[in-house]
Amino acid sequence: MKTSPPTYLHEESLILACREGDRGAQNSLFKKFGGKMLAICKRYLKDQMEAEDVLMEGFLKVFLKIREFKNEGSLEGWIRRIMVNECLMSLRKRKITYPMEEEALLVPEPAAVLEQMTSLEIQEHILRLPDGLRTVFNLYAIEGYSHAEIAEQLGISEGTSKSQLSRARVLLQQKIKVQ
Amino acid sequence: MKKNLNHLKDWEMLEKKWQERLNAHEEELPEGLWGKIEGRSNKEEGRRNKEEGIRKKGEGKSIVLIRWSAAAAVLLFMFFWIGFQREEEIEWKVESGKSKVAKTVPEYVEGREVKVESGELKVESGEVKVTKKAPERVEGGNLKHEKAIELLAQAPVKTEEPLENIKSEIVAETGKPLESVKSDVQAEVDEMVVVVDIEPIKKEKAINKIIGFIKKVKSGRLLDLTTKNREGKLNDGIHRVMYQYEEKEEKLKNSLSL
Repeated sequence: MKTSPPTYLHEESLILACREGDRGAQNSLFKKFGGKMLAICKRYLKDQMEAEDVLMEGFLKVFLKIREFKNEGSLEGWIRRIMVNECLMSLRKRKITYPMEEEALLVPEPAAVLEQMTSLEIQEHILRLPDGLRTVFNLYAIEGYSHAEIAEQLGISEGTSKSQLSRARVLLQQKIKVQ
Repeated sequence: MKKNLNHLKDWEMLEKKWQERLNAHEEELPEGLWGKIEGRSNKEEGRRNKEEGIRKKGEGKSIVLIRWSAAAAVLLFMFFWIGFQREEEIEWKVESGKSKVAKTVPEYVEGREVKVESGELKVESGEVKVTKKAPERVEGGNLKHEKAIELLAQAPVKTEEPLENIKSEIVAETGKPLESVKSDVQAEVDEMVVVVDIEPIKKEKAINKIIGFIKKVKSGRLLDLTTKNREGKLNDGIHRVMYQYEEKEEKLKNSLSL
């Protein structure tokens, strides 16, 4: 017989129970944010199995480090950051190259159809991008990282980050036209 | 160029919309994923607890080490302190070749050699022979000694004349008959301590003692010292300190094992 995890009315009490190492509370936390975090992992890694593995590692880290969470920002934002870092660590193993464009790219106006896309369509659209471009696009456009932060995280220059973003935008536009 | 900048703004607006939609997007969690996380979590917790246990054990060891080092430092300090204290004290050597010799601790004499020459007083076969008038007071002598000397001093004896040859019947100072004085002196001398030589302990001697003690500590013979009479009093103190540390160490071990 399956037992459903306990429900917590307030996020504070859930955090407190997780800090105590309460497995029920941890399960509740996983159920609450797991779906969203899996979507993030998939958006970065593309591969379902790898995304699940990274999600697992990420939650283990969340449970381990939840004592360090200071209630300053949102819990979801904090967990999301841990997941993104885990994804980047996994991507580093792929030894992705981030080439700098020799000439400045002319980014076309975004097609109107891009604005009408559903979240699933956007996700599929992003997943078609190559690893490097997808990573920079995800970090800048979806997570809201600055080029300086991306450069630091990926060990590239800010110029390369900007160049990769432009390239990603151009490719997204081109793929819509092909469809 | 201006057109391109406008396009960038358009992209940023589009990406903001995408961001909102994707942030709300959820994937269905696969069955059994929580079970895997729980299993890993339990395993990790077990490993951490084990590591924590080892770390605590290590900490316990270092606490014991620190305590022993502190104890050693205290002991060293005690030895230096006692060593320098004793440096100013006098060790009284008693000539044991003669009869009726015992050791008592005399009064403190300011580090100088005090001698009672063997020619002044002699104890031979229970008889007292006075070859010359004894000094009125010998510094550093104990009370019995002084009294005996005083009695002898009161005897109407001239220099180098044996006591037996003295004919006077009454000793002027005491008003007692000579025989009585002689027996008093004899009684006093029977209990008397003859201090032959006084020699201050040299500094090196105290340092050598400290070095010797450290060697004993190193070789693990520290507790054996407590049984020795010579250092008994001092080592009682050491023993007490050691016992307290051992007791605390035991308590600490017990609390850690809980």
